[in-house]
Amino acid sequence: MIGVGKIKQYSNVLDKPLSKGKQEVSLSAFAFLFSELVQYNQTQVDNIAELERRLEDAGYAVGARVLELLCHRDKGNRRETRLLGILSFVHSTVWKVLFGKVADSLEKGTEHEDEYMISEKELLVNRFISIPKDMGTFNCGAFVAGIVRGVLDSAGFPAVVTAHFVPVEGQQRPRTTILIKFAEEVLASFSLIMTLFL
Amino acid sequence: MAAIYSLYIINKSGGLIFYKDYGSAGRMDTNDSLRVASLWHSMHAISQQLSPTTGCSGIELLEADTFDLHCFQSLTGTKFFVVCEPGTQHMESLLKVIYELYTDYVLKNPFYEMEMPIRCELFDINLSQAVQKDRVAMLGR
Repeated sequence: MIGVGKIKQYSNVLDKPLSKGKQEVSLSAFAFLFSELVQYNQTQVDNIAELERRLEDAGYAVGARVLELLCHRDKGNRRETRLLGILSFVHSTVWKVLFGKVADSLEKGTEHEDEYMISEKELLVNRFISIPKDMGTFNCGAFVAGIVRGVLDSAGFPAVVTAHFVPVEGQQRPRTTILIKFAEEVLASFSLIMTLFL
Repeated sequence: MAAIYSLYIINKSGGLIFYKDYGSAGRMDTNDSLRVASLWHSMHAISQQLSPTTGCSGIELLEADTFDLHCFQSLTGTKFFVVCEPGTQHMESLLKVIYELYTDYVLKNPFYEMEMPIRCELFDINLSQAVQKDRVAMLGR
């Protein structure tokens, strides 16, 4: 047959390898879309906590899908089952796919065992956003916190994830820290596994 | 000596939405700046009508004995203008840079309401950097 043979034909769509996806999209287009998302949600709420929750929910849906996609694309349908594994997966793989770079830092909380922090000097979603003074500590990074919660929750690590501005000495702009506080059962199972091994 | 005296941004209906003073010689209070803005808006519109050339987009440069006024109008009718020392160079490109900053840090900010006064921290920070950079470039020449 003419014309057949160059491109491999897959009889079943599921056998086809998943495309690498488009590596980059327009930052302006994203910024306008995100801006509209925030503005729309602002019309639906009457307080800031509610707005934060709605943004987080929007992010949660993204996170759940991103986990599914990346596990299928990069990991041959396997996902991380270890706590540190999933955290570094979020910090590097997820961040790279969503924001084109690895997150600036991943740290363990000093005060509490169950807290981890991902910090970004300049979070992509906050690049063009100035929070008005009357909105206090509100951070649009709540959307990213939602994404992280979506990934962790879907991977079996339920957690409470919040976004905060943290002032940096000698810098005009504060950085954004995504605070991850794992649910009790996550750490319980973690320490149970540790005792089994020891 | 300050090369740039002041910067104005006016919305499409002539209201002043941003004003920044970089050390003008005369004293200007809020009312004066509002007056200058709406006056310029009307003069700009009249100049468009009176111009002998067809398709004129209005005054781009006003030269006086004591100052130059460079104006840039965006496609949506927002006007940016700087009042500066006579003979200051690179003002057209500075206005383009300011327009870019406006589209980035004002229009992409979900908390900015269109046609309202600009109160965006990031815009202020980046604007002062742009104006400074321009100053440094001029000093180094």
